[in-house]
Amino acid sequence: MIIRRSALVILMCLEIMLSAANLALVAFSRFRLEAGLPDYDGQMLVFFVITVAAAEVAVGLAIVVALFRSRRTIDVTTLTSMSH
Amino acid sequence: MPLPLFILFSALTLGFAVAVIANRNPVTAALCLVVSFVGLAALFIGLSAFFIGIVQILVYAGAVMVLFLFIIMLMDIEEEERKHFDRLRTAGGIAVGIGVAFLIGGVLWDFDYGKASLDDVPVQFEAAITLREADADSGIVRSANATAALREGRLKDVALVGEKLFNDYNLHLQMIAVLILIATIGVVTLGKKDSPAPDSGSSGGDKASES
Amino acid sequence: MSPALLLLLPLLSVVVIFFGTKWSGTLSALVSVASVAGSLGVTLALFSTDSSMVAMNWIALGDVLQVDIGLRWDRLARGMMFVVTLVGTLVHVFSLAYMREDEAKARYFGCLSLFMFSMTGIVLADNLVMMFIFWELVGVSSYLLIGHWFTKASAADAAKKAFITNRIGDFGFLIGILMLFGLTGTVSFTGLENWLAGGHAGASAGLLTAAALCLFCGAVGKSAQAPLHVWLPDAMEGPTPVSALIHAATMVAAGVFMLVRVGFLIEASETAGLVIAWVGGFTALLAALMATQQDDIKKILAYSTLSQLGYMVMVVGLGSGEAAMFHLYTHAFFKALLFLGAGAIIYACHHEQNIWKMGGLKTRMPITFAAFGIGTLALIAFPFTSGFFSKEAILDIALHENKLLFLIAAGVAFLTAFYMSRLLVVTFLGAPRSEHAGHAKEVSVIMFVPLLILAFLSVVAGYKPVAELLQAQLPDVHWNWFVFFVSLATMLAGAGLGFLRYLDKRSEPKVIPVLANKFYFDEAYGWAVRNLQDGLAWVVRGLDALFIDGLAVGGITRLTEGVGCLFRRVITGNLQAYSYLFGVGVFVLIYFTVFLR
Repeated sequence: MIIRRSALVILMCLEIMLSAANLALVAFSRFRLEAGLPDYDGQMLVFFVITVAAAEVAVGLAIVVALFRSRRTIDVTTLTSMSH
Repeated sequence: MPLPLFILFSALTLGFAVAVIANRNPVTAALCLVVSFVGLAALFIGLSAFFIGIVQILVYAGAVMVLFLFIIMLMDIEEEERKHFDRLRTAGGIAVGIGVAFLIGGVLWDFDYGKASLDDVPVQFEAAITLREADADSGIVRSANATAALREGRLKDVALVGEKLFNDYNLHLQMIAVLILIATIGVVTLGKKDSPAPDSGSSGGDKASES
Repeated sequence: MSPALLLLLPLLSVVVIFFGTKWSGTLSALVSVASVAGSLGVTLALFSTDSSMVAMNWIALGDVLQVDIGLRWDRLARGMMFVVTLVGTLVHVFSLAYMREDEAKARYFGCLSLFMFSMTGIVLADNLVMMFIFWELVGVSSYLLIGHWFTKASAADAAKKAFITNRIGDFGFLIGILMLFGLTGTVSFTGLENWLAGGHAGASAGLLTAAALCLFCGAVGKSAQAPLHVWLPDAMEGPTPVSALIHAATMVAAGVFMLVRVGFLIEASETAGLVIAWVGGFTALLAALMATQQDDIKKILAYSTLSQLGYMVMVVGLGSGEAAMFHLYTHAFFKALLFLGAGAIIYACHHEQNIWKMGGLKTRMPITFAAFGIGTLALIAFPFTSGFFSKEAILDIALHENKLLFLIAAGVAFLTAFYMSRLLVVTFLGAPRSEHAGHAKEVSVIMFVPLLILAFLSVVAGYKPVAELLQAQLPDVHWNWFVFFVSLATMLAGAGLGFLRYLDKRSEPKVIPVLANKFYFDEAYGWAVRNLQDGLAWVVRGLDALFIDGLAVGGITRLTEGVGCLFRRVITGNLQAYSYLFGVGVFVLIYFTVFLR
């Protein structure tokens, strides 16, 4: 995420990071039994994370499209107008 | 999950995740991501989170990836041009990565379950059945279907997840629905081309930054 | 009907004028006149009642401090209210003509209403805190009215001077209020009276004297006693009706009124009474001396006001609030008459104020001359005018209480007769000494009717039945032939000397620089301000620049700026850098939460 300059790939990396967190959550839910069953509270969180991530990707991609339309590029190193 | 399968799928997940980062071509990166997610879904299933695993494949590998590819095609993005990396920056990134890896390792080391294997924590069907029947007697909604499956020694994951979701997380579910609605509206607003209203998100900001 | 109406009417007028009818000067004037006439009507209607009420509990700090917005409607308040509203009404009417062509008529009348509101508040207040608030409010309205023609630098300066000088006195007043509160735990007049009657527990005589003198500081400022008298002559920069209302009849008398309100305190402390009496006597003499050498008609009257206020303060100090209030009451009529007369003259002479450029107005403005003459007679205590009775009372009390002060008072009576006859002779007799004076015409009916009413009152107000009817305070004095003859002799001597010396003179025969320059008070204050205060200010400014600006305030801004500069390097606008920092942050967070527990 730090070394890639394409906004699209950065979004993909974001997805990977979220998935990593999901994996951890699922693993913990499985290992920490609740009433003899996997802890479904943790899986709920994963479920919500997936949903929100889907929404986030949709918005993020829309932003990328808008960005590309106005700048003809999605290279994030050129997007420094916020610093001035 | 047998150890060889676990190693296979984790290697798949990690390897293709690295490939996503390493590939300069966005299409390749997206396809690598699909494979990585499939591996991840397999890991989920291995952890007996069947529902989550299926959702992972449907939502990520299916919908989200299609969206990515669609956008890539739409914008006709070429490969990132090769740039020599700033040494300092790369070193910094790697340092943080290694640091976080060490932290995670440390956490797992400290954490008792970090050393446990899945066999150490089997699903305790009898205890679960007893508890569920007690709950059902005291009026809490419990899926009889799932309980029956538990009696047969099967973990009916979807029923259990649904039970949890609609019993305890109903409000959250509604909120997520509203969130998605808002996201949809936001996407439509952002995606509108050359809208006459100057205040539509991105175009306004871009005009400001260009001037 | 409740006395609260007296407060609400002018307030309503202020609100209506400043938020509604500001665009129309005439309408505002009518609103203002209606409100003050209504106040007069309410005062008259309430003449026979005696009440006190608490409108609301304003501040209540447990059992420690209780401050009410309360009204006290007793004989003292009634008499004072009558003076305020009657003179106020006449001045308002007079202003209709005098300010007819003024551009800011709405503001003028709005401020007059504000003044009426605040003055009413002082008169009706039943505790010191409320009185102090309205005390400051009259200061504000006085400031606004003195500076009515603020485009003129001298008027703006005079307004500032009046305000700042008053602040010095008010500071003392505030300290006095706090001292009394500290001693007694109450600020209401009734509470203080009860406390004193109950043997004023827990306060030494010295503390009591100090508190009384601090309150007196307020009166020194507001009633322009020496050494804070310098603002009053300068306040004559304001429109003449304002001078008549505020700087002759009512506001400057508020100091005396306040002293009479807290008269029980002054009676309790002999030293305080003595100091007050001497300050009053000193002011009376000083002002009378200065008045003899002034050329500006309004300044002469201003110094005369000072001197008469000195009389009142002196007699308060000598322990007779009644005599002071009686003199205040008669003085309000004849001094308002004199000021309004002066206003008429100034108006007729096209805003010429130098008496040496007038002359011969007797035939051209006979009605004004007659009214002004009556006012003069009342001021110099010509027998059987109102001023005669009140001055008689003062002299009588001075004779019994303090012989030295009696001499001073008699001397002041002589000087008063002298400078007033000078004023009268130079202004009205002889030949016109300028073109404007030569073309002066009698003023319009709306201007001389108030003059005539005041002239009538100046004559009759002193008689006992009239004063009784008008709710004035009557001093308890006996007829004293010795005082009568002294008064008559000084009056005749002064007037005679004035007539002989100034009849048919074209300019001041002999200028006495010390008097003409007002004993160099202004110069001395100017020097003090320039050298002492500015020096102190310079030192304080240095400290301020070094410590406050340099370290405290400036240090913080510089620190913030420096830190901001440092962190600005972080804001690169580069997404990758941000995510890198984010990663570092996650690392640190996990490290601290997990491993450093």
